[in-house]
Amino acid sequence: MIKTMKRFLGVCAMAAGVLGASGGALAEPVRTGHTLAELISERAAVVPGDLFLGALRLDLDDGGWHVYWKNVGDSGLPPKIDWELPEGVSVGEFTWPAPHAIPLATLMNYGYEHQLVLPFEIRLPQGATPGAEIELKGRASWLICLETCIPEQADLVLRLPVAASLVAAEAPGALIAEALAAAPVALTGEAMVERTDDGFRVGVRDDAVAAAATSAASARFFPDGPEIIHAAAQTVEFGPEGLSVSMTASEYAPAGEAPLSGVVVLEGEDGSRRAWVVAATPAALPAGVSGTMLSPVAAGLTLLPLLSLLGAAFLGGLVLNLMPCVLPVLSIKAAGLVHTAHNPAEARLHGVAYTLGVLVCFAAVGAILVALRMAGEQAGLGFQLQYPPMVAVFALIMFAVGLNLLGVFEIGGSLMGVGGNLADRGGASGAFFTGLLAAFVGAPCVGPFMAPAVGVALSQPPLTVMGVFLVIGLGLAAPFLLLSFTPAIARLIPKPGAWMAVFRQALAFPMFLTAIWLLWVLGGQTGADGVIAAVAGATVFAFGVWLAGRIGSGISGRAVSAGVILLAVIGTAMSANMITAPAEAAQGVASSGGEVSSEPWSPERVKALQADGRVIFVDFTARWCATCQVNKKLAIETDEAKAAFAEYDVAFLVADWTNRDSVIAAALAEHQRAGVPLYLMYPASGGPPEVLPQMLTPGLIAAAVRTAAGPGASEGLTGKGDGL
Amino acid sequence: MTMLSRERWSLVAGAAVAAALTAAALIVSADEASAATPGDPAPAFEELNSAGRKVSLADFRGRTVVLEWTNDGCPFVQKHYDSGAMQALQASAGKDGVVWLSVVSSKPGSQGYVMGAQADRLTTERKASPAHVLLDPDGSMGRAFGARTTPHMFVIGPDGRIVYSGAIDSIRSSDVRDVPKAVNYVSQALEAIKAGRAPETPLTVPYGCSVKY
Repeated sequence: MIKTMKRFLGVCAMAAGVLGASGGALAEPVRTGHTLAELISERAAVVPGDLFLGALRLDLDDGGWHVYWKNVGDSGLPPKIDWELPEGVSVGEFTWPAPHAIPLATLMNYGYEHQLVLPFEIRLPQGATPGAEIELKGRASWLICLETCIPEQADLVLRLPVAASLVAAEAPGALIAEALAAAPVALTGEAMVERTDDGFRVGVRDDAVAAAATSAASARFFPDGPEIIHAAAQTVEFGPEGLSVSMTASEYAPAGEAPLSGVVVLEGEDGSRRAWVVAATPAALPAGVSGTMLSPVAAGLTLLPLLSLLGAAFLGGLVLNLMPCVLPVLSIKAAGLVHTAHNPAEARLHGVAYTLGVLVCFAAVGAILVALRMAGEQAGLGFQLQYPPMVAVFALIMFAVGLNLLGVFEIGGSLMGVGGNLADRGGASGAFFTGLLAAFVGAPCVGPFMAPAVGVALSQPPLTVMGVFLVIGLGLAAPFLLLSFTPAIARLIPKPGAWMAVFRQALAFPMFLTAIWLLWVLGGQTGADGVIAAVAGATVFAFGVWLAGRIGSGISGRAVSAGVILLAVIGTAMSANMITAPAEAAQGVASSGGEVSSEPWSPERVKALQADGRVIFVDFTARWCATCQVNKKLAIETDEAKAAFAEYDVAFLVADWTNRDSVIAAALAEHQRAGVPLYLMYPASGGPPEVLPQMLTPGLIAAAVRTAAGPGASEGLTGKGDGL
Repeated sequence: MTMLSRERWSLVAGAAVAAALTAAALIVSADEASAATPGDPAPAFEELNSAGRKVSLADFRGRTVVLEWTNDGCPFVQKHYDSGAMQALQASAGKDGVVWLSVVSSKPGSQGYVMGAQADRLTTERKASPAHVLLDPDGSMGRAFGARTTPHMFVIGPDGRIVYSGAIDSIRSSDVRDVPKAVNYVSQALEAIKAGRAPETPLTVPYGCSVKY
């Protein structure tokens, strides 16, 4: 709509230009597939010997269509003009505005969206005669890409009347001035580069850069050449004298010390940008250009938001106790509590050990996440269940715990006894292990309160991320910690007795159900083969523990059974790793029979459907996300939601994050989420989507559909019916 | 702390193995940025060809192998097929006993993604003559080689080492008229291998569309 209006105005302006009595500079915009291209000039009339600026102006389609910087990054082509110039007229090189980083999957492009104005100098001969007209002709060609790339070209003309005195063209002149202002400026200070183990560290010692860095939200080095891995994360630090950027070298980096040139772009929180041309020569970096990490939002987070972030994290941890994937593990702990309820000292010890187990696991998950994101991976919460071997081994552990609860492998005790075993009476180490387990399965079950907190946290410096993760852990551990330190509550639990054996065995079944759920996840990732491998692994495992019970307590017996068990675990993981997902599984949740019909999500599909004026519902989901499955069954696949979808012709897109997918991860990050579920409802009128709550109800979906369809949508439909 | 009892020992061992495997999986996946460089041994691969048969690098020990990352919808690929240059190069390489493998790493649903029959139809239509079209929809082979663009070319010598990595030719454009004017780096590398010397240009920056991982 706006685009059409812009174009209409452009045409009007052109018409006005043609009709203008002064007969100013005349350009003819050319519409190509995804671009409106035009040559513009800061002069409406020129004088002989004039030196002034012209520019190539490319207005690009919205929605992510982009053209390229002079260094395109991993793929693409920069725009160019092949000139056909009159005698004596010369045209200079483009001045390039500071580029933007445009990531795509594991690659990186450098370029521009929306609009690109590329200024160049035009020099006219002294002999040009007033009254005449100078005609600059050129064939502009550029590559424009969304996901796919289209080479476009246009024969452009710029006609400039020669007059006795020059006349400025205001609107084009302002565009050109804006483009020049967006171009990187020369450095007053100095730049140096040193080699690191895996790449380069560029230092910029400059007062203006140092001043800008203190308030910048992000910074990036755009190299002129191919020396770095464009898609790899850059670590930016600043100090009192300037800033430094660490980058990973590509295979095109020269061996040894060599200069490195490019552009450093600093972006403020309000989106304002400043850029400098950096030509770094090999030299050691001074200390004053580093010391403080520059990372998105880092500068802006003061104590209060941090506290509310931690508060949300604690609440999220608490809620995690109720999530379907944690509950079975917790039931084991509940059994443990029964045992220690009447021994306060032991109860406290177990409470602390359990908390420790939870914290160790969350610290590990947090550390791995931080490391992954530093390595440029788009990892989110629950990432550990995106690796099939992990899921397979995990199903095996659940199976093992279930067997243990049933009493299948209690060596030394009677087969059905309640004797020493994993988690219900295993002493402090058992409590610790339960804590580990609870946290590990709990992490992907992002509770409704936790997703926004973690989403925000992941954009924070590593220390804050770790803090948030530890507080989530504390939240998860809190109820049991409280119980174990409050004998009055614990005493309400009945005294140990024969009922406990039954209770404990009953708990084995939630564990088996969890194992089945994990196998279902694995099935989505690897197909039936992976599931069979895991089940075979479970059988070998069961054989191992049975063997252990038969052989007895000798050293060699232990070694043999431990060997068999290890074989089961390693074999399962390796086979799950080797089996690659069938194409259909990667395609996402297929719709079938009685379900609401859906199609796989992609940013392009959203754009296409929006262009058709459809209401779009996007379900970011994963098989391992229990909340997602609950929502699917209880809210999305209900008659009420289906009826609303049908009435307003809602397009239902599913983004399945069961396997790693950087496009989906990027979309989640865009909405400040680190994990699924995420539900978006795009209005029929276009524009940004409404983010629905993480706990859906059928009524909520139906209401959101009606809002998105806009006022009068259903009347419109009725009206049409009447007309017929 | 109490001593670990026996049955718990096995579980702790299991958990340790699980943790180690996760770590390994994470390290492997985080390393996908590095690419195959001339002089290095080519990464081993095993992918299905358009006929659904497994093809691996080991099948061609002792022979020169050309890898061509391709995507039939990409204008840069079209530049080299519409001009007939790619087909001519494939034919002459084939005559010299060189194994030409066209690799499609487009993910399902993205531009260039093809299934077996479609891949074969494209080969026939374009009168191309690769020894195999390899289907790499999960992008594992593409990432192992660090393939960035279509086309992105690799020449592997008979000793299994990378001889050339980079662009198909010297003029970075999508204009078909540039093909005859450009220096073709792949034919240069193949000639060098035939003559028993190293190519003058073993490494260039590839140009083209991004590989649709």
